[in-house]
Order: sequence, then C-alpha cells, then structure tokens
Amino acid sequence: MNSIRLHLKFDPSVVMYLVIVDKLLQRQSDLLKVKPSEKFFDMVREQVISHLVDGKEPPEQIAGPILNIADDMLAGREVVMRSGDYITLMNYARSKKLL
Amino acid sequence: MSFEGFPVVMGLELTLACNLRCRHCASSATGITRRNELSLGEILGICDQFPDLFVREVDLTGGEPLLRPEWQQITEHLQRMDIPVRMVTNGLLLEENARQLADSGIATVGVSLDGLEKTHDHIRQRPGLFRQIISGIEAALDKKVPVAVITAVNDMNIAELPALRMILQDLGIRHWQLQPLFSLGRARSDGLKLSCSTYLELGKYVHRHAPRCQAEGITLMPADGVGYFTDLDTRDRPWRGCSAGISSCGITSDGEVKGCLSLPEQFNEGNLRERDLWSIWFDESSFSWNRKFSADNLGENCRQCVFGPQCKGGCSVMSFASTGLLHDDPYCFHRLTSRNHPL
Repeated sequence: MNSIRLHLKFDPSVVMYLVIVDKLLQRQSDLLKVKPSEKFFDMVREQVISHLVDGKEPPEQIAGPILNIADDMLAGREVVMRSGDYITLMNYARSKKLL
Repeated sequence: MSFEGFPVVMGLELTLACNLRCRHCASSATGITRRNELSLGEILGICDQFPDLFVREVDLTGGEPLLRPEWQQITEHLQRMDIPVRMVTNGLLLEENARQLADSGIATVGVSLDGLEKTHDHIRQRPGLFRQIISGIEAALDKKVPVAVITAVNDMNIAELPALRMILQDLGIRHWQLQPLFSLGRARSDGLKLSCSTYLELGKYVHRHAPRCQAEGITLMPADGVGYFTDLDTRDRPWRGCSAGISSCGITSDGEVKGCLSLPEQFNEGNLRERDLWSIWFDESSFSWNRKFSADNLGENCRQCVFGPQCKGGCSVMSFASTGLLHDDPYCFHRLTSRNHPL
C-alpha cells in the first residue's frame, strides 16, 4: 500500500469513503489521490502482514479496519477503506506515537 | 456516528495587519497585527499537519497576506506537499510582488475590485487606489499570474457591475467572483449596506449574465453562500448547507481554528499552540453548531421553509451578521422571491 484515494463528496450529508490503492494491484481510479504519511502506511502494512502472514489478531481498537483491509486483499479486491476506519487507524497510531 | 469529514479547503490568515482601512472590512483590519501572531516555523509546522487531514486547497488571507514577507516560503512549502495555494489580496502590493507570485506557482490570486473608480476608492478609503489596482493586475497578468477579481457587492456598487465587467474583459480577467457584503466589523459601523433588493439584483445579474460572460471567456461566479433553491441559484449542485467545520476550516494568524475565517471569534474551536489540528478537528464538541444541526435550530426566516432541513439555514456568516443567529440567513432567493415577501 502506498497511497490512498479519497472519494470526495462535498455533500456533508454523505459519508466520505477512502479507497486505498495497493501498488500490487496497480488499479487506476478516477478518485482524488491523497497522501497520508509514510508512517501511517508503515503501521497499516505491518498490522495487515502480521495478521495475514503470522496469524496475529490485530489490537482491539483497530481490529475492524485491519480485518476489512485483509479481507479485501485476500479476495483480490481493491482495498476500500471507509473514512471512519482511516480515522480509527490514525487515532490508534497517534495514541501509540507511531506517526 | 462520529463525524467523518475532512477539512479539504483551508483558509490560512497570515496576518491581521492590513495596509488599507476598507469600509466593509469584516475583520476590522488595521495596520496592527494580532497579538502574538504565529511565527514562520509555527505556520510551517501547522501546514505539515494538513496531509493527514486531506487538505486539498489552502487559501492565504489576511489582513493583507502580502504584508507577511514569508508568504512565498509558505506557498512553496504547501506546494511541495501537492497542496494548491490561492491568495486573496487587496492588490496594493500586487505590482511589486508580481514576479514572486508568478515564480511561486500560486494557483489563483484573488484581487478585490469593488466597483468603478470613484466607488472603489471610496469604499477602500484611498484616492487613486483603483488605478493602482488596475496597474497591479496588468503587471500580474503580464507575468502570467492567474488573477481572479473579487467584488464585494453592496447597495453602492450593484449598478456598476455591467460597467465593471467591461473593464475586467478588457483587462483579460478570466474569473470574477461576486461576494455579498457581510455586515460585520467595519461594514456595520461605516454604513455600507446590502439590502435584500440588492441581493436579489445580484442573483438576477449572475443568472442573466453568467452564460454570456462564459461565452466571452469570463467565468462569473457567485460566492459559495449565494442562493438558494431557485432558478437564480447557479451552482452545479443544490446547496446542502454551510461547509464550515464540515469540509472547510480556517486558521487565524494567532493559531485559532474556526469553521470559516469570516465567523467572529466566539466560534473559535481551539488554538493550534495548545492542541494539534487533528485533535481540534475531530473533537466531539468541535463545530457542534454545524455538525449537530437539526431542523429545530432553524431561525424565524427559515423555520417554515420546505428546504430548511437540507439548506440548514444558509450561509452561517450571512445569517449571524444579519440576525445574530445561525441557521437563519435572510439573504435567500427562495425567501425573497416567495409571494409573501415584501421587498
């Protein structure tokens, strides 16, 4: 994972969605490209790999978002992340001073 | 559900100091800075927080932003993060900064022009300013600076819009934004007014002339909070409520965060010297006046309106400036064109 595409809707009544574009998938998207920090991607990557390769359960606070990402990757789908999941992951990374 | 939006448009006030004393200044800006304005290092540190929050555009404002000599460093810093930068200036320093503006790669420089020569100089309280601004615009355009013109529409200049348009066309201006006057700050004390009939005239002018302007190469745009819900509303999508604290945000030159820089200081949500932007933006209590809106919050002007829940009572600044309340914007085409409204 090296970038996130944010599905921007300037309509406040609609929840915004994020789409993570995995470099491995090489998918193109017409969604707006945004760039969270590399440290954020490092943290997410580490958690997903730890779960998929080592079978470790992610920390409880971020289990939902990490499992969602892992499911998408296992199914070969473009990784889609709700903005709420992004905020949860960022809050976790901030609380652990990972950023 | 917790709030899940991002401040994709960010207003960044570089200083409150200004080299003019315009009669309609909502900030009542003078030659004096705010007490304890942010240092360059502090501003750059704040800018570094923008990517995590998906800020997609930064608008540099003041005061007069060109009075802050570091504007170029700030612009370049943001552009290195792929964040386009725009600036709103009174234009007095445009000519001497034209080269730097061109080199900076700034996306747009919005220059204020509030009427024909006599009117502009009266509103701006500076004889000869109009000619200076025109000369500045010419110098900037000559150096390929993308200049837009912003006109604060009020009772004094509404009749001058057609003649002003001809001047802008001759200059080669491609973007013209019409901003209704906010009755805040010096506008309130200096007697400049925006009557409801003028507001309606503004709507009719845009409706009538925008297509012709487009054909002539000028994009005529009403400001964001001009509407709503009639044929006079020229926006692409229907108005869905004020974006302050939802998808837009502002930072004052002393680090205060608000949903919109035009809102007065009682709408400050926190200071960036005490908490970072992420903490303030996602605080459960932040921007609750807008994020936790319910139709029960609508004021008298909007309570009976069928569009009220969707519109959320119009532009927050116009509403607050006119009525002292939020969600009660009297400057509304739908309201003003309804049969029962006496203009």
